[in-house]
Amino acid sequence: MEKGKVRTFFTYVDERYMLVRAHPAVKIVSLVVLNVIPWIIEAPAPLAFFLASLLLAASLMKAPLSKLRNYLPYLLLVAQAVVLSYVLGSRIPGNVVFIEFPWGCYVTDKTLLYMASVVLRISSMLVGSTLVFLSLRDTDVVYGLKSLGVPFSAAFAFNLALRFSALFLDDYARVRDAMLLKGAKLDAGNPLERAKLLSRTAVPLMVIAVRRMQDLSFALELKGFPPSGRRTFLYQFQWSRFDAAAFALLAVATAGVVVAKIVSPLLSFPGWPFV
Amino acid sequence: MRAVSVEDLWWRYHASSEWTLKGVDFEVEKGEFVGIVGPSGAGKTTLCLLLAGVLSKSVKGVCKGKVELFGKDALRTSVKQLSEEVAIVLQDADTQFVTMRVLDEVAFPLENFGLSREEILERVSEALEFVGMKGYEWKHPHELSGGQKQRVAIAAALAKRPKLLILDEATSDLDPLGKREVLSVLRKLREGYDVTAVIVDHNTDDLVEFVDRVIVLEGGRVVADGDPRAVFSRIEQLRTIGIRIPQPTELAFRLGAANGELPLTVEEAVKALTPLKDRLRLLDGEVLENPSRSERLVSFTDVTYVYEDGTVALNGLSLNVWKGEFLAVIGPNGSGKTTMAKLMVSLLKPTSGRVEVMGVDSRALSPTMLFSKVGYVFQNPDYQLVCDTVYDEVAFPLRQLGIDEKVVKERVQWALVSVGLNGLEETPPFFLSKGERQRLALASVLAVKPQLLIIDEPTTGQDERNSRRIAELLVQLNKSGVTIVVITHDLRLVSEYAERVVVLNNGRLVTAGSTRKVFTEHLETLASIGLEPPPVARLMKELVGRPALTVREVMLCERA
Repeated sequence: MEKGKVRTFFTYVDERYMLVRAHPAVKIVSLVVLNVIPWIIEAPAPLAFFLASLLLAASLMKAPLSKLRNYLPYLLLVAQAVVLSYVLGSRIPGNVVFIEFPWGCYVTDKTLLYMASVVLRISSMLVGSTLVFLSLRDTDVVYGLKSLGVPFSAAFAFNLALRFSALFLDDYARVRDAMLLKGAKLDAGNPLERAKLLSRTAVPLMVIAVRRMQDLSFALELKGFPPSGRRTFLYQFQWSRFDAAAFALLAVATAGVVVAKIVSPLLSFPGWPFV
Repeated sequence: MRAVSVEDLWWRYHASSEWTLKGVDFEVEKGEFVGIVGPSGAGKTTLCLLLAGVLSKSVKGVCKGKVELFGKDALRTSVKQLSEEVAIVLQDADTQFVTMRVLDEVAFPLENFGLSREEILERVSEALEFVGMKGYEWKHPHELSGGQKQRVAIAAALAKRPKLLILDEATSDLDPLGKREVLSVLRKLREGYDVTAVIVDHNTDDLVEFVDRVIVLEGGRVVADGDPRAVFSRIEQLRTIGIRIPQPTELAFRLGAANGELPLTVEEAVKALTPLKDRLRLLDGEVLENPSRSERLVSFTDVTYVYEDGTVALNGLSLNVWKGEFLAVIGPNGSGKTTMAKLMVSLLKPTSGRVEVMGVDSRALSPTMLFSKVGYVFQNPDYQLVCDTVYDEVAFPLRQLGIDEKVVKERVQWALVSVGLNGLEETPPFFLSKGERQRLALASVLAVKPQLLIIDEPTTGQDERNSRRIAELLVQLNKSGVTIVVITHDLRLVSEYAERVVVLNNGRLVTAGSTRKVFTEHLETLASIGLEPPPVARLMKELVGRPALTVREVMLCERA
């Protein structure tokens, strides 16, 4: 491991990334807020502004923005699906009709705008979550959730689920390799056949997961989990000025967006609801 | 004082009609180190989990009999209460890690027990110091080698200051260096820690060095219990059961050098066999030559492979795999063995350099193009089993080739007979034992009749009988013309079966040559990377100045 790097759930990040050093509660709250705000905003321009602000803030906090590149293919895949579903299967009234399909669906100027909104919303959620996850460690999940009132056992179980999702991805890659080595053509040919072949990976994945969970449950029980009495928490996180500022910013942003959505049409999609 | 008392213990899993344990009786005195050996399915892990008090409370099953730990009824006392006195270290270190830092891992049970922060930090420091992992507190488990992971697992167990420590095949998955690291911790424990230990291990060569007693389990029953020397003198019985006999013991027995007391370790065997030294010296000079090979099946030319995270797995590797050979690839964890295998089946493409498989640049190949010519069996067979029945599993690759069902049936039968699984065609693969699943994974690769078979750690976690069965099957296949490449840590397997050895370390080729040459002329090189030839090699080197590869070879030589 390079010097100055910190191991988080899924990768190594530079310890200069300010969110890494933030209080666990700030990280958990950020994760929630960064997913709630794009969900509230509907209009494409404010969503684009939110995404741009998010990236700017991340850059100021020295976030490893280059890591976002790894998720770009997934984002493009989702965007592609969104575009296809709106182009081929929507009936959003608009001022200009660009194309009409024999099955009754059509593409208007509003369809394109709505499509852009959905893509921007998903992008914002993905970018926001990724930026938080890049800074997240197991202690952040446990201490963060606990400081927000979640019982320790539940917080720890959630943390384990996250940790094991990384192992699950690793297992999936191995099973996929094994299928390729048995001649299964997973990357070519009829999509239905490929889907059928891929569904076979569920069998070993499930069996391996169940076995692993059983071993884990034995290990946990013998480590005194769940604790029956008073539990000691080794770490004591202190609130810094950065944490207070971040918390205040998140609270103001959430409140501002909620209020703006209620009192002004600025954040709503123009013309919604479509009739 | 009695630490453990097991009386007429019976256990049956809910889903099974068979009893896994059938009236097990034994006792362990405080401070005693007891080894438990037995073939796969003998009930060793079940017994360990019952001793730890966890099985009877977490898994549905029928339990009869009595287990007492330091006077407490382990079957009825809560796991929470027992967990302060009993600690267990399992085979798979990754599964038992529940946190992301060494410090947190060792501290976790202590936090759950509600100890003060000061005491937790003191105990963590002491435990890490004991296992030689001080300075690793902030490391992520993934950054540790296999041996280091198990040492951390032992530290987490010791930090609880348990009265009873159970190790269930804790060294099975480790490379020789990792094994040695863990064994040295166990030796230290034996010398200066107030603990009773129950250790399950297939590797009796290591086990006999630090246990006071050995218990042999077979079919859920104790069939032998006593001093290791007394137990391992029942060589024929143990061999029938499928238990690995320590090589020094076996050699002394075969040479008739016992005089009632068989040696267990190399040092003891040197003493016991010194009177026979002259007869053994007659054997000098006998060398079984390997056949020369000329047809290249796979070639690596200055191959480097760098993973996405920057890890250089192979660094300028150049070597050939010759048609018809039985090649063993050895080296410590992370030396690049598996990466090399993945390049051979085109799952990976070289970052630089060239890999040619049967004369074709691997960049132009894919796994699906190669699978009928090059077979690859994973270390963990569970990743490879994707069908509902044994028959379908073996038929799967044949059906991908579009082979006629009649031929498929013939090939499936042939493959199942070859691995000894015929008659189980309709059984779901995950109902088989681990040894059987390993053979099933092998059968499904064999069915396509590959020219080259790569098999990763075929004997890891397998008992002696299964190990031999797989090894002998590989020899048969090799004799029938299949080129075999075995990736393994089991140097006893290598010395008995492999014709040529390739030694890797840090992605580079350390040495390559006939097994005899590597194991006799490169002992220092092997030692420098933590590899140690089997006990018989060290023993013969000590006695006659020249290592032997197998016990059988020494016998052969003696007759000559």
